[in-house]
Order: sequence, then structure tokens, then C-alpha cells
Amino acid sequence: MSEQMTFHADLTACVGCRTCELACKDKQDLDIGVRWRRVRSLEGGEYPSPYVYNISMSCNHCADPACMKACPTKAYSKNRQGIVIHDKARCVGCRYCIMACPYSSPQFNPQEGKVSKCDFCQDYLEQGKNPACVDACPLRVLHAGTEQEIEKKYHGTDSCRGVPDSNITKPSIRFTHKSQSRLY
Amino acid sequence: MEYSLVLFTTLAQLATALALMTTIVAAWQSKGHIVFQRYFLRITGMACFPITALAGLAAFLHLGDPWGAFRAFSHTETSWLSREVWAAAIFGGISLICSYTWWSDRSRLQTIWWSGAAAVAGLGTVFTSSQVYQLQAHAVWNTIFTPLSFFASTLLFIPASALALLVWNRKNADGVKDWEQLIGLAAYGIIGAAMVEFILIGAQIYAAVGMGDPGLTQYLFVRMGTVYWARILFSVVIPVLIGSWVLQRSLYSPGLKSAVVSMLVLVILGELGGRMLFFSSVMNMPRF
Repeated sequence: MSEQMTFHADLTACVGCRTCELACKDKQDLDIGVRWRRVRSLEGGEYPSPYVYNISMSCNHCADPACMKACPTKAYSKNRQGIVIHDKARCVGCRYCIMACPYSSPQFNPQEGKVSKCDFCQDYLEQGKNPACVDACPLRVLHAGTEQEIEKKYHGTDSCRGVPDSNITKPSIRFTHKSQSRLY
Repeated sequence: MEYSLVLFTTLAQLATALALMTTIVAAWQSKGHIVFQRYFLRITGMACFPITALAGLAAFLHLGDPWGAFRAFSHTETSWLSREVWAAAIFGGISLICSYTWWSDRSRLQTIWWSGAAAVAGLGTVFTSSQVYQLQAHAVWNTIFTPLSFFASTLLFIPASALALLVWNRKNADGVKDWEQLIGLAAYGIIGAAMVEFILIGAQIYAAVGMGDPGLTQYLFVRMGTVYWARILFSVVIPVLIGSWVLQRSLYSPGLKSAVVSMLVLVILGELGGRMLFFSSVMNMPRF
């Protein structure tokens, strides 16, 4: 693996409009209920200082993907760009990858009886374009690039309050934090 | 609720317990001790494969693409699910031979040997099943209580089924001293296994509450409260009461046979309830 493609999410800018979700579903032609990218709103605090922050997340194409280790059929692999690829032809729909993934990224489609997940819009990457979610965001919350590029440009961290521990799978996502979302 | 997984894991544990219990009782009998009506022991030995097959069928029904199930054998390097598929397939194969040897009424040595082999394969399946759920992504599952509770179910099924078998053999064993010793052992066994269950249920509550997730506590003990109390009643209270009754020298009470058989059915239901609680503690909870 020569590089690791990575997402960056700027939590200071996200308003939870879900345009990224919509762009993903539209580009990938996903069925109802199948959401490769999801926006979660995490709330906390007490009056007079409550807070909310929105996290847009898809598959994090982890450095140590739990889905890939758990899958009994070897349906998952990591490609040269570090993207975790799911081979639908090998999938038997056991849903164990969904259980194993801390971020619930793989999505089960009952109509197909199979799982599917974000592929970082590989076809767009090959054309030199960004993933659909990144370009659709009206607030420029999302960015994509290699790990080095993202870390150099945004200096984000991979951990976030309310998000599963990044030590489990080493996710390829970096966050720019709101003060309340910073873990340490 | 993943009912197919509830069925698969519980039935695999029941088949393991039956194989283990049949091995112990048949070996005991071969030493020239208690004389059983071989008919009853044969039924228990033969039951091993149909129960394992039912468990396998339940596991197949869980898959979105059951026809591709053979591919699940291919990732034993890192996938506990793949290892479980191997273990369950080996268990199924040995159970088939075990049930066949009992059905065709082979020699004692053959039946004991194959029942023992099925028991060992079953224990392997129970262990791999428990490892499947020890996932870092789920703190409530990723504890020692997961394998302990899987083995505790097996442990409870052994004396429960042994007691039923012994009581059904009562007519044939009247006045046989060994029978009374063995039934006493089974009664102590069921009380002990029920107490282990009770301790584990308590430990799991402690762990769930200790997670500090009010949603989980609310779900397990309020929304699933009926299942929870049914489990305590069926898997702990009733086995202790029946075990105590048997120990109180009521071996010849008229209602004992039906009470012990009802207890076995209730223990199975209790463990199915326990497994429902286990799966719902993660799968019915909101996830990230």
C-alpha cells in the first residue's frame, strides 16, 4: 500500500444539512435505508451552555479495519490507495462486518441480501475528481486526500468526543474540532 | 432481534450438553454400574444430530445469501466467524456419526467414543461461538462474561437433561443403588449450575450498569424485563427447586417425572431468553 486515502471533517463548519448523504445516495444509486454516509448530531452540556456538533461520517477506510478481519468470506480488501473495498460477489450477507465495525459503516440491503459500503468514489478518484460527498458539501466541511496531505493541510486529530475509540481500528479520518468535541 | 442466532447458539449448546451427558452416562453404565433401559440412552444419543442440524439450519436462515455459505470457510486466519463455521461443520459431521452409531445400536465402545468426540467438537463450537462476539466495538460483549455465559448454558443443560433421563429410567432402576447416587449427583449438579447462572446474571447486570449507559440499563431491565425475569425463574429458581425436591428423597413422588421434564423444557426456554437478552443488549441499542 503506497498511500492511505483519508477524509477530513471540519466540525466547526458542519450544520447537519445532510447534502453529503444525499450526494452519496444519488451518485451510488443506493436503495432506501442504505446510507453509506451519515450525519450524526451529538448533543451535550446543560443550560446555560448546551452544545451540539454534527459529524458527517462514512466508512473511515481504517488502517486496521475490523470489518476486513471479521469477514468470514474475505469479501473485504484494502487497495493500493488504502481504500477498503467490499466485493459484493463474495458477500454472503452474514452482517458480521456490521457488528465488528465500531462506526456501523457497512450497510445491509435486505433486498439484495448483501452488505455494501463507501468505496471513496474510486471511479471519481481515477478521473482526478473528489468523492461526491466532498464536492457536494455547501460549507466545505469535508475534504479528501492522502493522509500526508490531509495532516499537513488541516492538522486534525482522529479522535472525537462521542465517537468510538480510534485505537480500535485506526480510522483514516481527521477532525477539526469545535471546543466541545475535542477529546484531549 | 436475531432469532436465528439465538436459536443457533442455544441449540449448539444443548447438543453439546446432550453429547457430553450421553458420554458420561454411557461410560458409567459400561463400567457395570446402573442398568439403563438402553432405549432412553439411545434416544438421547440420536437426538444430538437433529439438534445440531436444526442449529445449522437456523444459522443458514440468518444469511442474506445462504447458497454462498460455503465461502464462509475461507478466512480462518483472522475471522472468528469463519472458525465458528468450521467448528460447527465438524461438530455437525461428528454428531451425524454419533447419532448413527446410537441409531444402529453399535457396540458400547463405539457409541461412547463417538459421543465423546461429538462432545469435544461441541465444546469447541461453544468456545468459537463465544469468541465471535468478543468484539472491541461492543464493550458490553467484550468481557469474560461472554464465554462464561455460553459455557454456563452448556453446564446447565447437562444435569437438566441427565436428571430427565434418570427419572425416565426410574421404573427400570427401582432398588438400584447407583441410580440413586447418580440422580443425587445430577440434582446437586443442577443446583450448582443454576447458582453459576445466577452469579453470571448478576455479574452481567453489574457490568451493564457499570458501562454507565442509562439507555442500556433501561432497555435490559425495563423493556426486556419480562424476558429477564422469565430467565431467572426458568434457569435459576425452578432448577434449584426441582433439584432440592429430588434431594429431599422424593424420588418416588408421582409428579416427579413430569416436573423434571417440564424443568428441562423451561431451562431451554430460559436459556433462549438469556440469549435474546445477550443479542438485544447490542443489536437493539442505538449505535454510533
